[in-house]
Amino acid sequence: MAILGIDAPALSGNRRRRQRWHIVLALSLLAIVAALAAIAAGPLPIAPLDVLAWAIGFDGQPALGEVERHVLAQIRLPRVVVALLAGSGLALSGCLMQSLFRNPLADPGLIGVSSGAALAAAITIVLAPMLPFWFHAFGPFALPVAAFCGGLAATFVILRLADFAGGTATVVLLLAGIGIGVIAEVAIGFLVFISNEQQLRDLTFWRMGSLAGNGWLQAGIVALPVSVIAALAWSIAPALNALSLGEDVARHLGVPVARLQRLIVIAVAAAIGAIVAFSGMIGFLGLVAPHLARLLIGHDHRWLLPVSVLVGMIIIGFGDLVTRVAVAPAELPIGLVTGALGAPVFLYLLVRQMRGGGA
Amino acid sequence: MIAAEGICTTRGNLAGISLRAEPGTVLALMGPNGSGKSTLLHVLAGDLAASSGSVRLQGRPLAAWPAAALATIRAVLPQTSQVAFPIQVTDLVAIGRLPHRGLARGGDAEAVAAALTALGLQHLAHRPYQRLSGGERQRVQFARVLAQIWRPPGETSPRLLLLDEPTNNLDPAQRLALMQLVRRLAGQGTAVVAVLHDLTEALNFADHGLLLRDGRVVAGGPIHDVLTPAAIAAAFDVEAVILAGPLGSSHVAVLGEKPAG
Repeated sequence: MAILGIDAPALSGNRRRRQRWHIVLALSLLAIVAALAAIAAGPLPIAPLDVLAWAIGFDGQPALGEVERHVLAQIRLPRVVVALLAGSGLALSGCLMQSLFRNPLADPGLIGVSSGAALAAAITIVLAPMLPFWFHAFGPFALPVAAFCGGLAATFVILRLADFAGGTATVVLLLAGIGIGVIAEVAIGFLVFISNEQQLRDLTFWRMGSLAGNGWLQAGIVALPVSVIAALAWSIAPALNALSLGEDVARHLGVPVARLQRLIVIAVAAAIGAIVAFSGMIGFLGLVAPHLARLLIGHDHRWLLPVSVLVGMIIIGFGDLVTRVAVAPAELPIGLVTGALGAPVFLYLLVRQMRGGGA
Repeated sequence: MIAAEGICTTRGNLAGISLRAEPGTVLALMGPNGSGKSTLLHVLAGDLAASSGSVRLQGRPLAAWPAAALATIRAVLPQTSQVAFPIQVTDLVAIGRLPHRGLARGGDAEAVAAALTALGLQHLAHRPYQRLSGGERQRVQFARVLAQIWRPPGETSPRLLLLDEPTNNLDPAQRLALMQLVRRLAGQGTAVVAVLHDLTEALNFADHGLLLRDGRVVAGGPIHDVLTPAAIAAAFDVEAVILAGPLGSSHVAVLGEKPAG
């Protein structure tokens, strides 16, 4: 595979370490700025400094009124928390997928979770009147629950297929994922064909992603699988470094490759399932965030994983800001914004990678 | 150290191979391409399960070893390595220390430095691996393997090194240095099993040999008994002689195809 950032200066030991800490620090600051900006901006503008003062508890002053505090605490803050969690989860999942498949162009969709979630969402939207009565008991949660289950189900099918085809070969997993993706796409196409105007509109917008309407409950639900995947990613970082030398080499170094693969796939499916359930499809972030992180910090997973999280947060933080400011009072779908930001970067990286040549 | 008994495989067609390798010795696996040398090494490494027969490491079946414990005493140098992402030489070698993470032993930095020095790679320590030549990459991979089973000086607990064509891509001077290193490692109590293409290298640096053809043993035992003109002819279909060189070295010279009949 051709290689990015191959000409990075050969720094040794302490200098490289210091440089990496500087990058982490700068990105952390940028992530905080992105979060503050996203919280401050909107139809009811609030000065970022007031937000900061409120956040650290100095809101005894009458700077913020009752309404503003309510907007901050109950609308903006949970929404931004969900956004940051989604950004981290997508970035981590993408990074894990790239390392697992040993391919810098892998993204979380490869294991079918997005396809499965999209199909389940399409079924819920288009076939709602035909679904059994108990399904409607979920009320507004029917769609997220269906998307989450659909995502997990698709991943489960792919794992079983890979098992059935014999072996832990990652390439089987990859191809099974592509196959399932096509099947889901065909089924969605059929559902689109039979849908009415309103359903088509709902489906289309769901697939472009939206962070709107997420409260603390949703934030809590998304936080669970994202924390799990963060903990997992951190604990397997050294094993992932070994995996980048090849599955055989990792096995010889005592890494239980098959078990690791399974853990990663399940953790990614749960995280992506939960994120997709509450924010729809947020395109390109899972591919681009870890890629940018690789350019910034290199490929050592102990640095790469945290930096991917920061980059994911920054992109989605500013992305969320754009969705609410660009066409106010309407709101752009977040998937459009991340796609618009991500695709050019992706193409740039692709060209760079091809021209870079290398081994 | 490691003993294989009646190994048969469906892939690679090994038919009842037995061998043993003890600490302090070098065992050379030889034979024509496709004779099953690498397959045999894969079985010894635990990558490939034998359809029948057993592999025991220190008396314990290979499959019964916990992966992490196994990795601290056994290292494998594959024939080719595909490194997915750019990495500095030192970082790559340091990955070899993964099995020792969390063990109280420590000495990771020491192990990496010692491995780089042993392979003469200090000057490349901070270079990107992807920018190295084939021979340099081969030596970096060897350094990683060495770091994996490195022990502080004085500690001589038994270790096993499995090498698949370790001298690939190396020039004559590097080949010599590498085989001398292998010899030195054996002298420090390592059992070495190496797939070797160069019969002269095997003759001069191995203690024992196993000559394979079509998954069967043509000859096995002390290296000078294995590499005879008759056995070489039986394995490779060539006519060869063993020449005595200066300084007590021996050389396998291939004269031509084996005469018909």
